[in-house]
Amino acid sequence: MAHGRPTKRRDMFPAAFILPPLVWQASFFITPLVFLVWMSFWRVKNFRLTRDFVTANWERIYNAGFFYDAYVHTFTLATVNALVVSVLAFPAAYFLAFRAGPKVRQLAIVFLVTPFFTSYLVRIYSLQIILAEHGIINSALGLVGLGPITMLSTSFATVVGFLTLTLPLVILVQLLALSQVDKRLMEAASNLGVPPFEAVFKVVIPSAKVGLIMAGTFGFLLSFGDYVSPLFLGGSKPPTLSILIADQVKSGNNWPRASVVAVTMVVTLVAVLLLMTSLAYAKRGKK
Amino acid sequence: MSEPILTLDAVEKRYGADVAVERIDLAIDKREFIVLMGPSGCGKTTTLRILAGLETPTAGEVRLWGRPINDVPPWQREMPMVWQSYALFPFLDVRRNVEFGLKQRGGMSAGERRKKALEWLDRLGIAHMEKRGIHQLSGGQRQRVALARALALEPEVLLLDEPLSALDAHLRIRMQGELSRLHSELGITFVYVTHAQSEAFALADRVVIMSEGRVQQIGAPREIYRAPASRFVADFIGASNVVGGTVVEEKDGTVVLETPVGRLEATGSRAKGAAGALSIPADWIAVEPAGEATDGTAVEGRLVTEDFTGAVVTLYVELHDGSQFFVQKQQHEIERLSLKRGTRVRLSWPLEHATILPE
Repeated sequence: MAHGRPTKRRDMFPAAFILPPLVWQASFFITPLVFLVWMSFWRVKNFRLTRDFVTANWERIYNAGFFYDAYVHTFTLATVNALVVSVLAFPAAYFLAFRAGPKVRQLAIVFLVTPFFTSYLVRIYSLQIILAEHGIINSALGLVGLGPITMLSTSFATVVGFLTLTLPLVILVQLLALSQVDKRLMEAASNLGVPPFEAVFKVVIPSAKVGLIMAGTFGFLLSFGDYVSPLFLGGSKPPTLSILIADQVKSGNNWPRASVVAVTMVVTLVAVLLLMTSLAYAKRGKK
Repeated sequence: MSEPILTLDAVEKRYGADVAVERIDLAIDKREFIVLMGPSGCGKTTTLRILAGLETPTAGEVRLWGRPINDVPPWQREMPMVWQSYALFPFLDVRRNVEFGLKQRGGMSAGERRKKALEWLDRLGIAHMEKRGIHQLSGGQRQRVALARALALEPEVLLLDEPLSALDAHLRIRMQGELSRLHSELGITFVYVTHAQSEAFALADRVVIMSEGRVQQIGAPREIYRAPASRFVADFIGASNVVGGTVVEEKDGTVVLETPVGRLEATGSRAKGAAGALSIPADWIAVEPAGEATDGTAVEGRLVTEDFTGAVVTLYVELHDGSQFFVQKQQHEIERLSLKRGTRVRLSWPLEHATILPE
């Protein structure tokens, strides 16, 4: 409430810091988002976008079975990736945080950032070669009289793609989280009878809870919106939401319907982020 | 004498070329309150960590009831520690922190654990805070939780690493009293590390003075105070004036040293011609107006400054060679002398309290 404020003095100093990101967010995130929502009420006449205000796009998409299938499929894959990537990343992050020397740790951080220098698309193509029917894995299996196993154009391949996308980042975020763990607490636990392996679950994970949850959330967010992996590795069987967006645009120039899917995705991401944040910062309940 | 509960036998700890503990021999008796004291870097904390199993000695043996425990990992030692930083688990509330060790040991139902934790919290006067988070506690309260967490395991030996140094002076005195009370009530062995002499002397049955990875002296506080075993201890305790010199005479238990402040007598024996240092406790020195001749147990000088710390006054007297003596007196003893800065005074002491320090 404005009235009853003890002082009218306004400090402009914080504003100077907050303003640039605020302007950036407003012009490159909020504005397009508003535009996106607006466009979901437009119409397409003779393959041409027409300004309008109709709810037909929402009705059409939300009544389509393929949309729900795609939604569940996308959500499931992203969740599986978040869990798998968290579990795979943890031992590496743990080793780097607690066992490795500073030299090894620095080197590892460099190597974890390096994948972001190479095109994601190129990495996905190389995965195609590895996972294909006559690819590297199946050739190797053939040598010992096994296979071939169909991996390409399955959800398995999609998740492998998600993992190459998210694993380095999740390790980095976990490493940051684990670096904040007070090592004296680990000694205290040891002193109170906890063997090192148990200490991971009794001290390290509870101490680093916020960072670990946020790392997993990144794993979800990045894969939920990914288009490349489901298309080139998953063979869009079945399609994910991002593939659905592309299809709407490609077949019939239907930007409004694509917008409906996109808005749904943004709402989902924000909801997941809010949920995970409140989970991460949840205080022990006081009874 | 009964068998010691803990024995350190020629224990050594090196980190590459650096020596943290050079060689420690120490036997700790059951129910003893033993304090390891020394300047920072003297190896006292390393010694405590070796007892807890958090450091592995590079040589020597640690024994519990005569049984070597060098290879027993910390989580099997049952020697809980109270940490300088408290090291409480911020993700658990007060009661769960206290239950932590009990839960880990197993063999108790949740109800029993809870009851035991509350008993200890009650004993330390913070039972009403059982549901608080650690971040909601003050330093003194955290210290109590840390004590409760360690004591809930009902160990034979409690290790304490500078437990009071993060508290303010007032609280420190109170916790000191509390620790003393707990020790006598529980009848367990306390091994306590500190750099604060007041804590050590107030709490300890025996004090172990350490320097540069070695034990300098082990003894009851009074013993160390009255008869420092070396020049280092005398300087570290800071309760005596130490004067270096050369022995010029020796006869039946008394020596005469030639020092920069004159010829001084001391009890003890040392070969003629040897170097030696003489220690005179500051509170055994009598102050009078100058006039009478000085002899082997007296010097003359000029009063430079005085320091009041409550009832005790410390006088600093500059001697003719520029060195200083300090004298500690009760304030009422000084008042009648009505000393002014610059006054020449005569300092004298009984011969039996001037001792030659072992080299």
